[in-house]
Amino acid sequence: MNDVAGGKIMNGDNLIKMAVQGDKAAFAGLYALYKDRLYRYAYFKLRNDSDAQDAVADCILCAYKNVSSLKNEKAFDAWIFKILYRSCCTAAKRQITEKAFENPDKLKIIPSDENIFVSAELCEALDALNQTDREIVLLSVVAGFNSRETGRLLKMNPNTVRSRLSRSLAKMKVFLG
Amino acid sequence: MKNDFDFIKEKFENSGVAAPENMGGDFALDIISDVEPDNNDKNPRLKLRKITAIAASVAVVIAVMTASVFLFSKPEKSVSVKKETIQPSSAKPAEVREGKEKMRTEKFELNMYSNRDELIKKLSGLGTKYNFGIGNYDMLYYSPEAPNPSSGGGFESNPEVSRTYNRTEGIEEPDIVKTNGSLICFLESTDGVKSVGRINIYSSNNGNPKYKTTVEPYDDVKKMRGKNWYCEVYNLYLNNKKLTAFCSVYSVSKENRVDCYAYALTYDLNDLSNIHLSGVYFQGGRYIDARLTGGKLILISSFSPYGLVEASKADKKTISLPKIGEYGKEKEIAAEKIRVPNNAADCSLAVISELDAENGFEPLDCTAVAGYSGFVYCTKSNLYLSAAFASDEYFSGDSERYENEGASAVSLITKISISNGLKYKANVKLNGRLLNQFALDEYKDKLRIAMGGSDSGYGYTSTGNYVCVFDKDLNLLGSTGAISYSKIPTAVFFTANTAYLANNQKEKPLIAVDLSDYENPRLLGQTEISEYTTFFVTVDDDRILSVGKTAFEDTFGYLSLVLSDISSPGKPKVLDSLKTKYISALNSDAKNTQRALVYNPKRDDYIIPLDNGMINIKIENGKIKLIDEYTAKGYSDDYTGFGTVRCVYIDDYIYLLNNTYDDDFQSKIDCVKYK
Repeated sequence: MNDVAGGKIMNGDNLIKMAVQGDKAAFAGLYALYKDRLYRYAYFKLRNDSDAQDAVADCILCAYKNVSSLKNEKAFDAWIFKILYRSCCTAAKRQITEKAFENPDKLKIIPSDENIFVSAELCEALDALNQTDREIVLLSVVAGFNSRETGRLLKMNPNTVRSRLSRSLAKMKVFLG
Repeated sequence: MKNDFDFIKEKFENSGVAAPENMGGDFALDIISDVEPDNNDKNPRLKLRKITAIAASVAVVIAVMTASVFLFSKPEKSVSVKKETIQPSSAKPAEVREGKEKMRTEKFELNMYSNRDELIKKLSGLGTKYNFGIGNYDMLYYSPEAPNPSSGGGFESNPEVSRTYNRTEGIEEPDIVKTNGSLICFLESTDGVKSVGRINIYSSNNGNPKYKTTVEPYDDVKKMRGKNWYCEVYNLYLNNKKLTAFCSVYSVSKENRVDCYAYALTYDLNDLSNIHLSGVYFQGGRYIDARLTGGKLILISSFSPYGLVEASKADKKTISLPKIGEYGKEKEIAAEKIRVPNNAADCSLAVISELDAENGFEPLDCTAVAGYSGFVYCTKSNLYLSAAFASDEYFSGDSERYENEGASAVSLITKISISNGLKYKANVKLNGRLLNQFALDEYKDKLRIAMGGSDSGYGYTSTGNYVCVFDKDLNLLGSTGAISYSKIPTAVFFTANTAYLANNQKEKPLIAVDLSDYENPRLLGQTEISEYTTFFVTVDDDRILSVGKTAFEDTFGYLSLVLSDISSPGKPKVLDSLKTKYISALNSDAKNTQRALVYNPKRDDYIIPLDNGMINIKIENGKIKLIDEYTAKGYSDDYTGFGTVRCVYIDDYIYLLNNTYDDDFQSKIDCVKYK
């Protein structure tokens, strides 16, 4: 993946190195490489465009503030998604308290574009899973976590993550296949 | 052909859900325009890292200088393990109290139905309260199958070769690695979606292990059942050159029904170039566990008559009884072998088979009893099944509510005699939950248990820990009052007259409970061990080792070992501790399961896998002595891609079984000679 930062064409690795040193343009460039995946994860977790945007914004702020603590540059993917995961958890709690009782349908809003059918289908398939399984699928498939990383976030044994993921994907395939 | 993972991933990528135009790079720049990154020095953990790094650099310089002076002395290997000796007097007393409220239990009988129609009618009248017991999901969260040193169970034991660290002497437990001395079979992690459960076979080759071949039960199941069936391999046994893989095999229908079987697939390893199935046995339900004792294999599964569809949504006509079978033949378990209660909120069944382990796992007996099985505890005479349900008070048939809100729990314990066929003996229902097989202990015909009262495991409704004693018919004889206030005990250990509990209370207490008067168990004493205990290991009559993790501010502590003196049961005291540091022990499987611990009776020492290798320790003169620390070959600083999950020893060599989590998900084996 490449992006332009400070007038130079940079690849992801260089951007990470510069971002770790506090370079704002590099960080923004780096974010741009990940923005769709970050948003997609937040959207399918929160099912709401504005909440997803808020969670991503929160993630950006938190990530930048802590970017110098990123010891292993290769682990940037996992690191930023962990931050997003926490931002989304906070947003989800807020949703439950603020919205769910007022209008549960708000949680089911789907994007208004030509891919509406695909998204609705995916939402339906995700809804067939319980909350934990849904989380495992999103972290594994959308965020790209391996079972151990997912296990650490969800406080689960990686073997459990694997078996639940496998079963959840099989279940989703019934809806999507 | 795409696998499920790629198929679903593509669906997400093509879903059209992407960051809106206003969320480009400028969006990020706007957010961070007035912010500066936090200085690392403000973070105490990072500061500590820095200081340690500086100290390490200084140490390296000193070491180099020293080496230059003592040119002929052998340099010491760097060690990333911190040794801490805690004086007993420095341990603050834990604030543990015993309340007055005793454990409440309820007995109920299970009934037998003489014909199938009557039984079906009975089952269809019951609900599916928490039939997500395709296992017991929450029980699988870091639920340690924790320890007593044992030389192994039914198969012939060779002291020169590693055995799984079993709960009970003489009862062999399956695990992800087994060795017969010449071969090492390892169930590698494949990240679940491309192939669930690939068993790699290595020759030990006198310290120079070689990859030989791979067994893939997944493929064999597809051949036997068809392409819509999936297979997850959980663990295995190895008896000489017979490898048995235990799996859950399932398919999902369009109606969302999950048909599930527990399989025991036995492979003949005599000719590694032509490995073939030599035995296939299956039974209805999801695989829970297996035990091997006295030449018999006990196989346990959890069966949902509605195929995991909630009763209220299920077509009553689809209700089925569990089946058992070999290869392509199958038959229903006879109605008179199944026991269900008169009135229950759940129709799940625990299915148990007894197989002849000496004769190709030929079926001997089978039975099914109400209540799925979360975990099992097995003695030479009895099998105890334990399952947790959300209590009536909180549960309304919504599994997510159980998971999210932490409804209070009730547990069922079912006792089945295994000494002469499988015979249902007794049943009891209790308020609260038991963690794992170490929370139960059979002693002189009595069952002692330690549990968290009314604790869902999520920490919302805890009322305390209890230790209870039951007679052989599971009638309650005595109970402590509610001890402390914490969640379910994280580890339990029983001696003849004392139970030791560790829980997650702030002080991480080691609590002793007197069981000498079984009608009046009572809190005896406690000490503070400071760290989170996952399981206890008996060192000798006077000392126990707590294996767990450091009590960190987050949940991912490092591996920690604490040695305690229990010679005076009322006054346990800490003798010594050892903590690993940095990432090397962050993911040690020994933090989660006793099966990862290796005890070598000949050397009287222990091997513990770490994230990047292993440590070899010994208990000597009341201290934990670090004999060796080894970093596995192939490990890199990118710790997310590597993990030593098990070690085995054969003669003078320690073999390390490593999973890699890179693209190829290929397991790696490494070996080091005992120091």
